[in-house]
Amino acid sequence: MTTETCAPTPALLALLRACDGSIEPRSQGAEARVYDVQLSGVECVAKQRFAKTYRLRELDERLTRSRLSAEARTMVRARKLGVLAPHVVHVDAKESCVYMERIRGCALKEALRSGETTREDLRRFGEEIGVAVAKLHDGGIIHGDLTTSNLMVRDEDGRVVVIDFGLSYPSKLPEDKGVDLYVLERAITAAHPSQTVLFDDILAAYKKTSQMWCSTLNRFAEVRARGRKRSMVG
Amino acid sequence: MARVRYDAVPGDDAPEARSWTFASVTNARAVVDAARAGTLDACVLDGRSVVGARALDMACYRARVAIDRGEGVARGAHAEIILGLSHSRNVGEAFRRFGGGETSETLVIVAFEDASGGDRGIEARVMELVEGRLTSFDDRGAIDEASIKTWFKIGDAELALGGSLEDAVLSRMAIRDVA
Repeated sequence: MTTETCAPTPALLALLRACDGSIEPRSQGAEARVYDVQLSGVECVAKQRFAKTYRLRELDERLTRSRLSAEARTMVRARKLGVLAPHVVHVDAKESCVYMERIRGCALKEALRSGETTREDLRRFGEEIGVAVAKLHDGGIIHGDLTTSNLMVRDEDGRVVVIDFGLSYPSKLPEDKGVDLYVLERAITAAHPSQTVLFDDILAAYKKTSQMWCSTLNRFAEVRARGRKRSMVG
Repeated sequence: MARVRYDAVPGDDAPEARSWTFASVTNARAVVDAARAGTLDACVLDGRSVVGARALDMACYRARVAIDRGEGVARGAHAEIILGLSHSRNVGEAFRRFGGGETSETLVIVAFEDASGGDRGIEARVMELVEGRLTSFDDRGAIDEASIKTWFKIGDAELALGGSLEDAVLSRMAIRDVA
């Protein structure tokens, strides 16, 4: 990948220069870079997707645009459903950039690893995550990447905020919901083996909140037995 | 004098937008007609429909970006501001909902500066034209919250999350072009 494809685009660059002049990203993932900016007096993070030069340009543009749209729309839909997610401030489709509220806090992963989490904290996190995931699923949204890195604990009130809807998609199938829960279970058991009780709390809250918990949890049990991917043999 | 300045596109040579807010306006029709006829080079908004300063700021930013890129769909930069406040791409609907009307009592008038930072005589023209009490944007009075919630489809579940009505409106404005 060339450096040109990763550099901030003009409108984002203007905003970065207007803030503190730094054009260094706060973090970088496989698909996007994240910058801290201020837009219209609002502290935001700008998530800019970059071009993948190994893909056909037309295909890359189409994929990038559809993922950007899906991410922004899903965040708005999630909030409509009552799920705590960052609110979208601006979408610049031409520059493949979505500007969203900056959440002050730390990733749940860090909070769990800090060693300061009590059983009561775990119970509260589990309850909040279970309710959030149930609301998303009942509203037909699959997050697609539920891990403890994509759940943040907000500084101001300690509430859990769901972030990174980059892999989310609309679906009402129990299979997709089951896989979503399975991914979360695997993330918790792999990254926090001594705190797996968190997932039990999540499932209990999910069951209490979701109106379609029965079919989802039945399918989840199947997914758990076979693994995330279906067998394609035969 | 109460005047609110908004940054449009940040940068050394970026033009800014200025706004003037008037309460108890008695000649809204004449002001709107002047804007339509082009004798007032500014956009005229109904103060009750503008949810907040951040929304207006974002609308100015979006208008500026659209014009700079040659992607504007409305008649000019000022019409683009009205469109920028809307969640829909329908220009007529945006004017009906956010533009000043015959019966508007609160008007917010927004104009972009020229490249050198001058106001092209707009301020003098506005003061001459509008019959009303000049006030600050924050003192423009109550907004039409019920209509705003209906237009932007904002429900109680979302507001219960703790964000403001303006946050919810901003997010609808933001996804207009990708919805």
